Amino acid sequence: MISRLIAALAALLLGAAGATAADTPPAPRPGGAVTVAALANPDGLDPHRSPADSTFIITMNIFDGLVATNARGELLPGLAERWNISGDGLTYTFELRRGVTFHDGKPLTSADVKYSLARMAEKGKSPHAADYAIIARVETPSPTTVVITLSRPSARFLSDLAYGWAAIVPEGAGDELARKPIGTGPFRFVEWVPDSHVKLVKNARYFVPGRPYLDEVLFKVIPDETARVTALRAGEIDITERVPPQMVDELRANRSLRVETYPSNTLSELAINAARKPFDDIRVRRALFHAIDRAAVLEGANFGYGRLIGSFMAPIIGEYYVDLNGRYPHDLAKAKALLAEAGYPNGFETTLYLPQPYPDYSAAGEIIASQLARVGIRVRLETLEWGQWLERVYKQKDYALTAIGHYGRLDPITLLERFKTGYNANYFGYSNPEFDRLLNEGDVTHDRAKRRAIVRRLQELLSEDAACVFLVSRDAIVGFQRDVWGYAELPIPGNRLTDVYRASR
Amino acid sequence: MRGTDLLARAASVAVTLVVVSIFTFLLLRVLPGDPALLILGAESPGDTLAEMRRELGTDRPLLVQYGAWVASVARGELGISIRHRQPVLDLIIERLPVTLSLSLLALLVALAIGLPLGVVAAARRGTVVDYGALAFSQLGQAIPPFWLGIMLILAFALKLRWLPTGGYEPWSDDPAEALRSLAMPSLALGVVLAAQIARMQRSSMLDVMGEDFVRTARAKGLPESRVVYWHTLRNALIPTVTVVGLQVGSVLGGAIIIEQIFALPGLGRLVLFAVVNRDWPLIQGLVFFLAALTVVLNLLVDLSYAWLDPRTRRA
Repeated sequence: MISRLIAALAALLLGAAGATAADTPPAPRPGGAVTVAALANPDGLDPHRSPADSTFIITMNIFDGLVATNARGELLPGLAERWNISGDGLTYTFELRRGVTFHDGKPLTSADVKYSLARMAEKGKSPHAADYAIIARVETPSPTTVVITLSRPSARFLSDLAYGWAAIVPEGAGDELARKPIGTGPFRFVEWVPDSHVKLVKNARYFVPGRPYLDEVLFKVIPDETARVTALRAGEIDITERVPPQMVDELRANRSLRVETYPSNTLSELAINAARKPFDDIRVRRALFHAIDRAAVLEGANFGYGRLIGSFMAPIIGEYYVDLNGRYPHDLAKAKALLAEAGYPNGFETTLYLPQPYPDYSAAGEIIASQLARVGIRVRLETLEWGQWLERVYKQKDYALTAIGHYGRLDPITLLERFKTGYNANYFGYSNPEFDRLLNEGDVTHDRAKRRAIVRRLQELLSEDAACVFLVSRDAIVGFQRDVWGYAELPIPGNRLTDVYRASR
Repeated sequence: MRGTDLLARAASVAVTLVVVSIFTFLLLRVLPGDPALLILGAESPGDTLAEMRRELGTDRPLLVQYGAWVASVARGELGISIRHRQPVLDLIIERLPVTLSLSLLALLVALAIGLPLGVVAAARRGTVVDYGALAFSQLGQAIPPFWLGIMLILAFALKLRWLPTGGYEPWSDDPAEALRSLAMPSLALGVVLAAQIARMQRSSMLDVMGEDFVRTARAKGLPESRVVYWHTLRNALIPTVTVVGLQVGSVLGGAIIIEQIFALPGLGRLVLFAVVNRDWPLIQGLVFFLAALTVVLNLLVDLSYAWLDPRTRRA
């Protein structure tokens, strides 16, 4: 109590002296511990079996993949030191890092990689099995060499090895991984008290010299948004993701805290069922685009924390992103004219589904409904619980409009594939032969310039066809205790704390 | 209660549980939502839904699925959770101490506040004390526990910093910390019940006070305190005990919300997870377990009447 008082006084004095100086990161130093808020209890810590982010936010600290990524989404060496892709794009040869050991002391070999790849591709058991169905054969000519042969060329394959679900586990590992994960990563698993916390400690033999900085990481499960922010203010947690945008100013006023915003690889949109009247008419879809004031949506649903998107790509995917925000200016007269042209001079009635677990998407939907009323489109709002949303919208494609969002992908073709004709994940009823042809072309070419041109054209097609009303790529808003530094937001589900450090202890 | 009565009660408990299990099983399958679809989510490509269902066993005929569940109950597992891939009973046992501690403490809080308040209000009927107690019971029933919980956190965790904002310390690690971590949640949960108890206790005290034996006791010249606290209180407890017994279910229900706000790793969180993810065996096992718990507690309440009021023993 006394020490806390002294600390508070010191912070007050120091804070007054150098509030701006405190915003530039001090030099990293090893040691210390952080407590991170986990938004949900993971349903298991087996990266090949669990589907949810709540797993990857933890397991990405315990496991490595062959390939790693950074905040810009670049593909970097992970457990594989280097790789070579054959001229026909079918054979990938990976050279593993030498001297890497699992947390139980066993050395990493190519056999572990082969086993892990097979486990990732197990249909019915691995939620991401479909991503790895392309693997035809895995050979291990030496303990440090892995040769993967694909059944067809795929320019995205390498990026599929960089996600949290592409973790390398020890050969022979089974269901026990869910409760006792053993990897090669920067932190070693200590204990998991379900619905309470997961404790990790530093892996002193991690292959990156000098990392991780922290001695200990505690993930504390706090599902309630208010409780999470309160725990941050009370100093009980050091890092929390998903700070509600309306609370940023209040937290920033608190001297012992810091709030950072990062561009994220997420996309939100008003999904339109183009297979259903009246949305099969491109003029109606374009009218929706003109009728919606997207800047107001960004302001109202995200409090301005994010960027508008004009197609299905987040600006964070630098080289592939095209800014198409100017294509459909907010113009009610134009929207009305288009509706009249399509035979709906007095608008029409429709239903918009809101996904209950996502407050920002739901808020966007509510704002849109009121905006559409101005051009005579009378929108009935209906909130769907997540299981129902998946069933009705995603699987049965039985809907008119829904406000929703998706994770981006490292590979732009993987992301855009959602709009391929007849594709499972294409719940938009969107179909354009030119789009499909270009997508297939982009999927196989390793030529970067050609790929870039194709991806740009694909984004333009989605915009021209008004496949959706594309809305916002929201910022990731993360709250910290003031002395916690080195955090970065990855453009994939989950995160790593390898570079996080505490300036004081 | 005679032996045959007890047997009859036990049989009715068994029948209740079988009916509950069949009803939950069918209800879950009728509601929209598919556990396999929820695992694959909206991000996963490809058509692996059928394989996922086969692996989970949710594509089998309903009767086969129910049979498998019954067999699992017989093995003492209460089914295998789809998402946790563990016996449901293990998952319950991990979290039961938290929910039980929370519920019992909440009950204790409720009795500690509600009973004296009801008794004193009745004894001083029409005074300021009585009106104060009435105001409390009105307000207490109107305040939602989650709101009270948030207010308590703001006051005691954030402003005063006396208590942690949430989380749970096991009793075995540190009983004092365990009590600290459960103080606010049990207060938030207990106040509603305290309000109900105070109200019920007051009115049943007043009823009993009008009865002949109380007049007799007073006529015998017994001190007022003995009349109120011995003769009246014991007789007036029966309706209150009934209320408490009936509230067991709602205390468990309230615990679900309170556990969410205070980040307590209890059964409530498991219930929410199971429902959101359509983890059918987990819901099934949880409902069965909670139903069994409620039925048994109600049975205990009934048995306690006999102790409180000897007249019911021969009834």
